[in-house]
Amino acid sequence: MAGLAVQIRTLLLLMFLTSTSFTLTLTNANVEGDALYALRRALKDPGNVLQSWDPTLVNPCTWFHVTCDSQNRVTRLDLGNAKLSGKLVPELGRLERLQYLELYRNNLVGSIPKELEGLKSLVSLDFHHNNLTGSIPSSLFSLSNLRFLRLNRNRLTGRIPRQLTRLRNLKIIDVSNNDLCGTIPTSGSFYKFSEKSFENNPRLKGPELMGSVSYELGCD
Amino acid sequence: MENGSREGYRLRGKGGSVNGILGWVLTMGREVGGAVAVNFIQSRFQITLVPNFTESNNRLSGSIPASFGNLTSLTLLRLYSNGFTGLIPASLGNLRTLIELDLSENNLIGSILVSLGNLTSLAVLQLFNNNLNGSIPASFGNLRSLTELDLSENNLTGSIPASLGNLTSRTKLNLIDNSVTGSIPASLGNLTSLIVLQLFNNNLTGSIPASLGNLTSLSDLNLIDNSLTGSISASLGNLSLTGSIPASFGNLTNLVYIGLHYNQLSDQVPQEISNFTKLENLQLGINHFNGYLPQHICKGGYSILEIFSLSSNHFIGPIPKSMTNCTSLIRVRLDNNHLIGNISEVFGVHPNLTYVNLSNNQLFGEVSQNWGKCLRLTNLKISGNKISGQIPPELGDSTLLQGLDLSSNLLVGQIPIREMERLSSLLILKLNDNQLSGTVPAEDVGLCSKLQQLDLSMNNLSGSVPNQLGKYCTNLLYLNLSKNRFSGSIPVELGNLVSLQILLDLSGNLFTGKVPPQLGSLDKLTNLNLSHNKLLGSIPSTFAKMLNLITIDVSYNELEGHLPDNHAFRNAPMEAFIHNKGLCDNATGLRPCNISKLSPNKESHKAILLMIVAVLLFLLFAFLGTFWFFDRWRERCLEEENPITNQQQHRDVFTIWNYDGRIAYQDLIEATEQFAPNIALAPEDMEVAVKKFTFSSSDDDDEISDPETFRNEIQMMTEVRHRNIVKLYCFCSHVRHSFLVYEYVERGSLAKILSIDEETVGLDWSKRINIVKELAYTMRVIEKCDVYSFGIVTLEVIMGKHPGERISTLPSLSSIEQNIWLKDIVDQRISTPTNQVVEKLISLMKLAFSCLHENPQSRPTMQ
Repeated sequence: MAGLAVQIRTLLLLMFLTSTSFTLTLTNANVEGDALYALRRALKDPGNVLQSWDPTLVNPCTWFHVTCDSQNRVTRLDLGNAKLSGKLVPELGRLERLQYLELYRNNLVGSIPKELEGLKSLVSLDFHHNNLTGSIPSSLFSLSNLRFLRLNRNRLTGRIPRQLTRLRNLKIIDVSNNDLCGTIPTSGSFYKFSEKSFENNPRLKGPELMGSVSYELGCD
Repeated sequence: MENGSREGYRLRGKGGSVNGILGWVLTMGREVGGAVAVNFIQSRFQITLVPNFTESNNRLSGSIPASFGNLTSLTLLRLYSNGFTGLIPASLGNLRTLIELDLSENNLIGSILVSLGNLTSLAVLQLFNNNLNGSIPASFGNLRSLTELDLSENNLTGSIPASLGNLTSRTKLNLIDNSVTGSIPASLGNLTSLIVLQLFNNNLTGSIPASLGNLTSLSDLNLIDNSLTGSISASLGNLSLTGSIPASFGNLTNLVYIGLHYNQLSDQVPQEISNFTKLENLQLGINHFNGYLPQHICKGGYSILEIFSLSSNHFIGPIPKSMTNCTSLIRVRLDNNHLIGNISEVFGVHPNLTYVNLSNNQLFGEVSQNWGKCLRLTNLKISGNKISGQIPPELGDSTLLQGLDLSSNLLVGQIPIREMERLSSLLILKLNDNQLSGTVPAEDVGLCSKLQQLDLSMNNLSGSVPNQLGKYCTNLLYLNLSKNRFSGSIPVELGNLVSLQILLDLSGNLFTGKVPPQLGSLDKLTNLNLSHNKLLGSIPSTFAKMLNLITIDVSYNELEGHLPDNHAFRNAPMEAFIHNKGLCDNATGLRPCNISKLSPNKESHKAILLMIVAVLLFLLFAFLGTFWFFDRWRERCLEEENPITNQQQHRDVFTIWNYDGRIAYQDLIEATEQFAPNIALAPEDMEVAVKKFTFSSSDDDDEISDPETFRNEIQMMTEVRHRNIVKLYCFCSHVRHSFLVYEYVERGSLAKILSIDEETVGLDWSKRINIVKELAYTMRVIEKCDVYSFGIVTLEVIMGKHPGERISTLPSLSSIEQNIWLKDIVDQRISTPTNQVVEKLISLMKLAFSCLHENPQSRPTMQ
């Protein structure tokens, strides 16, 4: 009897889980479309590259520059070289399955939203060659799948968050040509990066010497 | 959800100050950063507190003061688009005179007050875009004056109360984006004034009640993204099963918007839809509908239909011909159905059409040139059908086109690149899996500037890949040219395509030459396939820089050498490398690049050995096959050129180009009659000398040789090249027959000539002295050769026979006696040498004897 009860409970749980995930799939399509539409509203688009981004469509998968997986979840956003200006929006962090966020060579201003920590599947974050300001959000350390972080040629300030050394899969980091300060972390995944990744940051002092120089130094 | 009409009633009133009432400074102006309006209209008190977006983004926050509940004569309270948090104050339930309550677009939490059901004067209730939870109060059934109820974008649960069907004056009911469950109450069919019913994105189940057929005023029906099941014919069609209520779909002629996307609705779609003259938007995608599409859509010749989206169902039959009349179309999606029929003339010229997807049906016919006249077209997808004919060059007129996908059809002819060059907005071009032929001309510069995906794979395209591709298509993420007949070398310019990220596939072509090292610059690339070509040389070490690479395939080429130091190469399966000339690597299962570095691990050792054997076998077969081919080819050429010489050429088995070990071996075995000692080896066209070695005593007749001697001789002869030394053609090292094949020199060996009396006559003393001189000269070349054998041969030449054991040393006699003794032992068969010759002979013999000195240290050197 007990075994049967367990079985029934398992079955019910299974049914619950299946129905929940099904609902989530359907709902998320809309959430993701809304998130991208929020970006569209925040951007100036003189080249009309976002013209197809129609929020009344049931999902964003037929929008140009957006790629979805088979479950209509957004996996890529390819807007490099698109003459876009304006700010990034925190809603972007809702694209849970986004792997490639490519917004390089535009004229984006403002800061990198800390909410991008929500991009749990992100493999590549490429904002190089924009006009972004503010600091690199330390929250990015939670993007555990991140392999490529390109933030070079912006006007980013502040320290390189030490937490980023916890990005174990990081293969390339490029924060060169910014206005970063402090020292270059050398621990964790950062041991393999050459100084080229950090060059042309006039206030950035050399690599951090483990144990001898305080991390807090030199950022005034 | 946006509400565009908001702008209209913002800042409507201008009134006096109500300082102090609410605990805020409420004046007109910027003090609170927003627009404040407090108005008395016909002794009705109205309050609007909304941010003035044009001035600043300063919003009111905190909770909504309960003191609002004291303003019992309030008729209008608008607090939308602020940052109010917390619960809706219960006191608002006191505002019995309230006609409009708008708390939308705040951050309010908690459930909707049941007491709001007391506000019987309320006409408009807007609570959308908050974080309200709980269910919709059944008490809302009391709001008899209510015309607009919008509870969208909250977290509401529970089912829709049947009491909402009491609100007969209702015109608008929006519950978009909640988690409302259960079925749609049949009582909603009483809301005969209803114009808008939007239940989009909830968890509604069950079928659409037949009673909705009574909503004859309905304009917008949006039930998208629920889990509704059943047929819509029973509810919206005229096939009411009860027959008592003519719930005819045909009555809903005011429908402008029908959204049923993302449900599980089945059965046929009522043909009456064709009669809805106001219909602008029909979205039935992702359901289980079957049967025919509405066959007379736009039949009146004039239509306002804009969206016709019926993808991912089971529709059959043709696309209605009347579609030609739908001139107002903006978006058409009929993809993923079972539609059949000729589409050549189904579509006409649709000036507003932007998006068309007819993919994955069974449509046939040709791509109409009319598409080129749809000047606002941004997307045209007709992949996965049976479309034939050529790509019309007129497509190039549709210059806003961003996506063109005609893949997996039966298209033939050339790609009209020159005309398509005008498609400068193109992002995606997929023409793969057709029968397109011809070359890709170099003009495709304009076409390329924004292109992100280019797929021309699986066609019959030929010629070289234009360099321009690498120069101008710098936004490419995906490039697939596989399975064509592209030839020439891979353009080095492809290395410029640093944006390539998803795929670079050049496999299954006829590419030759080396892999350009520039490809190593593609450091974002995840998938690279170069297999099934004729690529030569090694894989460039620059590939180590391709950090993002996940899959790689270089199989079926003629590559050799080291694998690059790259993670993807390390982790690739063996299939990614097979059928090459000689790829090696010390870490993967490939043969190691340096054998001395063999791992002591037995398992890997075995695997490596197996690998080597496999590779060697393959190479052997390839080698044999190639030479067989060349031989045949050469033979044919020669036959054509000079048929008579053919026979002779053919038998020259030891020249490298003709060499075939098996044939040579077989020929030799036959010619020598299994190495019978008395058979003079003289094949018809080529004479060779065979020197046989026997290492085992199976053949009693043969003397047993030392394998070492055999090997030494081979090694020595391969290093020597001299006019007096016979050439070693080849050797065979085999358990049964080990032999050396030498150039055959006429008249046999010196020993043989010396042994035959008649032959020795021709070999007079001057010749013999010359032989010794040549011998000395020759032996100086062979350093390893010892002087002892020189001594023996010299004596043999002079004595006419082998000196034998006895005359190993010059007897210790006086010089005169020695001279006499020497004269005695010289070959007597020819004329006695003259004194002058004797002098020379004696000095030679003395030299020869000194070479035979017992102590090797006392022998002279050949130098």
